[in-house]
Amino acid sequence: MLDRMTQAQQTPRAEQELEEELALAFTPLHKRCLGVAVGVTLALVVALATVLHLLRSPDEPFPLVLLSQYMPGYSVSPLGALIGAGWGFFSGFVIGWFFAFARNVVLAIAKVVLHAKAELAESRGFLDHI
Amino acid sequence: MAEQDVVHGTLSRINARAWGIATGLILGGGLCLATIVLVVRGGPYMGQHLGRLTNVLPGYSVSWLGAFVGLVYGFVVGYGLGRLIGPRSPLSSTREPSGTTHVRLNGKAWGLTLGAACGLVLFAVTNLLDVKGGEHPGAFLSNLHVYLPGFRVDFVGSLIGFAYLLALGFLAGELIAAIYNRAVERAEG
Repeated sequence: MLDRMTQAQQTPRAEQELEEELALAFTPLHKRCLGVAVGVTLALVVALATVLHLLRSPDEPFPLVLLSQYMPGYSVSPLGALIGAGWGFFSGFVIGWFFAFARNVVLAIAKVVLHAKAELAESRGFLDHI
Repeated sequence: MAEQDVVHGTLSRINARAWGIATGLILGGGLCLATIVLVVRGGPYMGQHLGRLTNVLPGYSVSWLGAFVGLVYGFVVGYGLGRLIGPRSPLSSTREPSGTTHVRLNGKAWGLTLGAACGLVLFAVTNLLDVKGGEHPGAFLSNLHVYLPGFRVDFVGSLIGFAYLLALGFLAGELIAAIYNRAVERAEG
């Protein structure tokens, strides 16, 4: 008796947990916010790498100077660290935004496909009875 | 319970695929774009450093065709990496779907994911260059010792590099999650 009551209480809770998990799994990432987060992080990485390079190997700008091929105005110098941080933010923003976009699109497509499959599976039984 | 397992399995597969495709597009697109920038800029020593990627990506070169080859390589590697390291647990750290329109990030999951990704790539590339050998194996990569003291292009160095990038990647992932969560809270009011 007690077992049955516990089972009856657990089933709706399990269903609710499942529904919450499903809702979370398909909740999209905020593109702009992820862009800002990745941008700030990449800006810090470029600036810190430049400062570290200046401290440890001030006479030899190689290989960090190669970044100037992709970040016009960048150099292994204090000013370069600032410019690099700006470029790092821009690149990171694009990467973060695009990552969120790609993930959201794939999940949205998966959701539509799953929905369609479930509907088809439901209607298959109905069609068999006609 | 069985139904729950099926749902968990499906969600896990979909999540892994989403991570794989997103990472693949970023890596493939990034390598393709980096190659195209160098090709367009031209010059007598065009891509003499990026071109070294041919050591780990056979067939790649700094050319228009190489950009396409890089796109494919980058996507395949990124897809595999994304599937491998995509968090098995939900990305969200908090269970608050009601009223939440955008997912919150789990700092630990993102940290581990980013750290493992960076560490694995460096570990694999270092060992590949070490195994290939030659007169100066990994001469370019060994410059990383400026930023990662103790790093060198051999097996022990690859472990040191892995440990460094795991730690740095973890910190970066935590930072990304913290900034993202705060920004989303502000954006959603």
